[in-house]
Amino acid sequence: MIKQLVTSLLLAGSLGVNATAASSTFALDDIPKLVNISNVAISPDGKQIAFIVSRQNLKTDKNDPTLELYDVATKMTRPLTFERVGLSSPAWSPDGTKIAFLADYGSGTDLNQQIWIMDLRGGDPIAVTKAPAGVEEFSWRPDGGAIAFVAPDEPANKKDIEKHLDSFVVGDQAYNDRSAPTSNHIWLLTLNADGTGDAKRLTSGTWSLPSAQPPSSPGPPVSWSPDGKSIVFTKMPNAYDADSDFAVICRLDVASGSITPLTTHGKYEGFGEYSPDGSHVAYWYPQNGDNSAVNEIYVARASGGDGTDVTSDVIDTNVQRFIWMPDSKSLLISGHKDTDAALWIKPLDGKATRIELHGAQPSQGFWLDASVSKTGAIAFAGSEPNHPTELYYMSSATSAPQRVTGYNDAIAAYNLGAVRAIQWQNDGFSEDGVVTLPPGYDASKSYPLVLVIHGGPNSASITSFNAFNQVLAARGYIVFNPNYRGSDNLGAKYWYGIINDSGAGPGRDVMSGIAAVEQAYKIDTSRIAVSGWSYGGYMTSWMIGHYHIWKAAVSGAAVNDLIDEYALADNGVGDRYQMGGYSPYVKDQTKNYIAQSPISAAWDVTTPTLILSDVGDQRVPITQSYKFYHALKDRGTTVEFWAYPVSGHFPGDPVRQLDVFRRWSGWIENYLK
Amino acid sequence: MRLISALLCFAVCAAAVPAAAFDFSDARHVVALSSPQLSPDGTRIVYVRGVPDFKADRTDRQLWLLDVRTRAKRQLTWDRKGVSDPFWSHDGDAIAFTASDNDAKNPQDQVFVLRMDGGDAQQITHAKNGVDSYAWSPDGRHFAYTMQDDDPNKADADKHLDAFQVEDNDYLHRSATPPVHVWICDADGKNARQLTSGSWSAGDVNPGDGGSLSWSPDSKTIAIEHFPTPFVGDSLGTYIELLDASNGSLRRLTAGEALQREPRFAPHADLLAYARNTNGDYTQGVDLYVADASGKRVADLRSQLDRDVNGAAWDGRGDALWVATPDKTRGALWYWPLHGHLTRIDLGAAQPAGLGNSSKNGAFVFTASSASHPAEIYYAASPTSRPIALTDENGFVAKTGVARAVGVDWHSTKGDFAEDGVLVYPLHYNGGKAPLILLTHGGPQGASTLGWSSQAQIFAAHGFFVFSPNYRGSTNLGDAYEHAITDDAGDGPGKDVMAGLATVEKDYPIDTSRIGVSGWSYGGYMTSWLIGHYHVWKAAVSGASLDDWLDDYNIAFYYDTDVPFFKGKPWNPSNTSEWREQSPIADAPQATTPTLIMGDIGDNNVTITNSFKLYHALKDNGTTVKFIAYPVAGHFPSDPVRAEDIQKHWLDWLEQYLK
Repeated sequence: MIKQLVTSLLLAGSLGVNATAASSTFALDDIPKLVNISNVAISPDGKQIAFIVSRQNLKTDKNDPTLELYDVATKMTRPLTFERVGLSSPAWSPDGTKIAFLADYGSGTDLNQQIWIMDLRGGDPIAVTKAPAGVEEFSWRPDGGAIAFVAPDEPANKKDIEKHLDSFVVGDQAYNDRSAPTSNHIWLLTLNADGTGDAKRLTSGTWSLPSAQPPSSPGPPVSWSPDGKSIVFTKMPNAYDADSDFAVICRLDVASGSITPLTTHGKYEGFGEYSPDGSHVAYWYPQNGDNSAVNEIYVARASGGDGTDVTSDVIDTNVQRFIWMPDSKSLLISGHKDTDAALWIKPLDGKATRIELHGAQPSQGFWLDASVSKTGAIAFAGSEPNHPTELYYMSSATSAPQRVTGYNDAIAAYNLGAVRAIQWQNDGFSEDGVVTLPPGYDASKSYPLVLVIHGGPNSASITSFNAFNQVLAARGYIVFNPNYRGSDNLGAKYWYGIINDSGAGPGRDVMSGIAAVEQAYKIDTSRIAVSGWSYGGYMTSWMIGHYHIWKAAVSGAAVNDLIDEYALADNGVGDRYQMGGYSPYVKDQTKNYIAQSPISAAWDVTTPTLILSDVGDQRVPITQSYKFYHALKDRGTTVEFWAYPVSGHFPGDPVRQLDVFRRWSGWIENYLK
Repeated sequence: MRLISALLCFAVCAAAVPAAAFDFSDARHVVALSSPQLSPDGTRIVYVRGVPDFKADRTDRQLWLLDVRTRAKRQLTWDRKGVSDPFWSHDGDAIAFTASDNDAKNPQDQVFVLRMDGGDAQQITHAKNGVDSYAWSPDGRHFAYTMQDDDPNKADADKHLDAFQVEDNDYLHRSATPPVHVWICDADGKNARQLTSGSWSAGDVNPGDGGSLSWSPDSKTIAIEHFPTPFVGDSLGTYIELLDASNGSLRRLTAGEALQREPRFAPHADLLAYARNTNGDYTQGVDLYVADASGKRVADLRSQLDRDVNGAAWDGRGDALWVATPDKTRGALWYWPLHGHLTRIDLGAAQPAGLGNSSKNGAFVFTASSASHPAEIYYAASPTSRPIALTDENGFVAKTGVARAVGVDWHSTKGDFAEDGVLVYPLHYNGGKAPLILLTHGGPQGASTLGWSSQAQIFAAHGFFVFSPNYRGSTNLGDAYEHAITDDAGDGPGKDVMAGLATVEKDYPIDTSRIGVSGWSYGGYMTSWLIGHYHVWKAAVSGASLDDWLDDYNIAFYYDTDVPFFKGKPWNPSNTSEWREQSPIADAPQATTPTLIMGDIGDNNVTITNSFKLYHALKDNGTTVKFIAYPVAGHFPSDPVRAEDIQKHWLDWLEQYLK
């Protein structure tokens, strides 16, 4: 599973009501109006699409989700749920008569996400599981008579914990965890005629199935063979998520409980899925078995074996997701390509064909939010440069995508800034980025420039709708989102370019990008700000330590100390793959980690800097922001550090999110005036 | 850097259970006696008696009263939470103390007064954010107390706009940190009003020093501590101010003099005793000064004694102070007439644990323990009469068997210092070679002396020699020794310990193939340092260890208070390497000793981040390591269940590798 240092800054989506006059420009206060569309699931017959609509509620400071249903024939959308909380993962029953989903059930400490089943002939949905620590994910058995689900075990020392003997043995986990992780295991839920279900454990042990560790892709699926006799799943050696590099695809024989690995790799695998006909299993594996390299798709015979890499020679990108097409002979593949989110159809033994999306950008931060019917119709959540997320429908892989919802039409009607791709050359790489121009851009005038650098680093700035870019552009800045080596949009070599070159190479890429922007547009070079969150925060801290052209900087949840990141973060030890595979504590690597950390150049920073971070961040521990803060303050550099007393890598609630953007844009405005 | 843990407080309860050896079950019965206060007429003593309750997982602390003449005891408070700081009214008719109020949702410490002619204690203060410290005016008419200001961002925070601006706070903070200020109210609690205000603070928030208050004898002036901010990391600039109780005006005691702490007015004259590091150098030991109300220095303990001051109390008759310091391997009690010669009080094998007060007739009360007896209440009728123990709550330990403890002396490797430590024999030692556990004290400004240690006794009962070395930085050998850890955080102290170990090996029957090293806090630093630099250990236990000075400076609450021990601030590139090289983590990859790491997740003193780094450094190099974390706040768990659990894991690990 790919876990990254990015956030969902690319808020997409808005209310279809109160359409504003076209002359309005996009402002901070419009961000809460954005509506998000996600969790797209098309019915097996391709006639209906279930998806989750999420609206921001500033009063309760929550995102209110509803499960909605789009009918392809009538083009009508209607809500299916009312005031349900914790909604996710809708999945059609194989016969298309029911939708199962996860939603909260219970109260107090018993409140957990459970599986609910909604009968589309009418009637309240029924919570069919009572897993004591909730359900991670699930999958319908192909005959529809049962569901396999993944749930965390209860702590082995539950009784001791009640007596305050709650100490735990620490493994490769985050510095602020307050317990040891428990293993996830597979359960079988047999569905009864009365709509209830009986759960039975299928696997057990100290090993574990992965779970989602946002921001990341979701937990790898449990995938049924069409005969319902086997399940392929991803098996980790233990419950510590940071040890998931030693995950392998295994096949579970449901009747006997026996578990056998699919391949001989012994590590680095994930996301195995049976082809619809059960003949093959496709799975993730890094290029050339090098865990520092891009993700590829391998296809093996279902009976076992390593199979072959079906993507490396034909699609030079990091594969975000594959979905088996109904013919079992081809895969839908997604990944970033240049400044687009791209989809391909890849026949198992043929050349990949890129799908023409006509400017639509499918949502794919780590994971393509799409679904394919048995008829080959494709539904996805996506956006366009000047239109926040909507639901898109394609009757086949060769038909043009149709935007079939209008939740954010009112935002799209604003006078938004134009979004342009820009290319340049540096260090032998062809590089790119995205420029957002102020609404009413006048080529004869010069504009101040604001860099907003993406996180990851294995992610990309593309031409999807970007709310914060629009906020800044509307204030009269040209906004530049550079990609840099390590970005996942320019092929395997570019992705690999950041390995053991965390800052210097990427820094040169960004500086070359600025030069390209200055050539293409008239920039007031005395007014340039640099900013970013997560690895974008790393880049910001690095840029202000090594270059001195900035008027202001905003360094959010920044990786400033690679050793802290290694030793304290939730996936910390996995970061060694960014550093040539070595821990900072072996082979004299400490010096290397220190040299590549932005904190080492912090004493050279003169740029007024705003530091932002969550106190409970496990992905990039706040310790690193404290270090950067003290270094700048001790040196006498203007610095402010605001912390959010919440967990997560970026505040998940609308009020604090808006507050982050308010402080971020406010700091820039204060110094770029 | 004063990383002393509460390990010394691992002692607690009553009812003797006869057994062959002092073990965990016995330690549960050790009763903790503290805060003794003599009534003004010297006839009665009020004190806090703490009994661990393993079921409720708390220490039940209540006030008890002891009659000096008859030694009869009775319990004064019942079923109260958070009882501490008893203080007699000037006429001896009542006792004030602090305890939790009855607010079930958000209990706060308040001042209560218990009349000694019967009746429930009355709650005097209703301080919204709780009373941090208090003082009763000598005329009995007022209480002064300190309380943290309201969070000005509270209303926004309730609407989830709870972002706060980070200052010199530790990394566990989740909100802004308002300063602590001085309030005053009438003796019945009425007319409460805030006397001081501003961004400065009359106390620091971590590790929870609520500020020290002392009334002048005429009840007109309150001596207070003025911290530049509420953060201990900024506390190098702390000084004493004199606060006019009638109008709130402030006057600095001594212009230009920082690091003044703990003002204490003399009972009859406008003389003020206060603590301050020698010559205002934070790397020196704590000295005791006396000034007159104009700030003019009247006396300086250093002229007579080069030892770090642990505690001090005025003689009730004035013009003299009782002073506690460590002295070599003993804790010492001194009597210091301001215009005469310092004399050492003969305590036999006992040593002071905590000082109480002196009555009007000059009697004095304190707690004291010895290597063979946990702390009891001690009473001295006068400076010239030998103190006696008035209680025998913990005498039962003699029946369980107590291991013998001796002082050990040696010279430092370079010969620059005469050094010492404490060695405890295995219980019922009959000759022959036995394995050795090093139990290294924290601080480093602390000292191992011949007082009671439940932990050392338990280890000894399990057949180990237990060696607690002092090392440069320790407080028991004078300012030069204490200062010597400056710019030498690990190398010098490490060599001191190894020199001590060589002496112990030479003079005692140690099985040198079975030596374990352990410690908590700076004792954890020493452990991590010693396993990275020496390879004589069979096992190690590194508890709440400081492994990375940069974490100590940046994310613990120390910040600028670490800087005097280095050449300068750490991110200045000319200094960074010193901070890194003096960190045990730099050499941890060389360690080969099987190591148990322990720490609290919520420790803002020595942050658990240190332990995570040590863990990965050992694990990544194939060294056997186990890391047990406690999901609680604090530098050491404050509850008896987890505290005992730590001790058990500690011993189990050493036994596994040393037996």
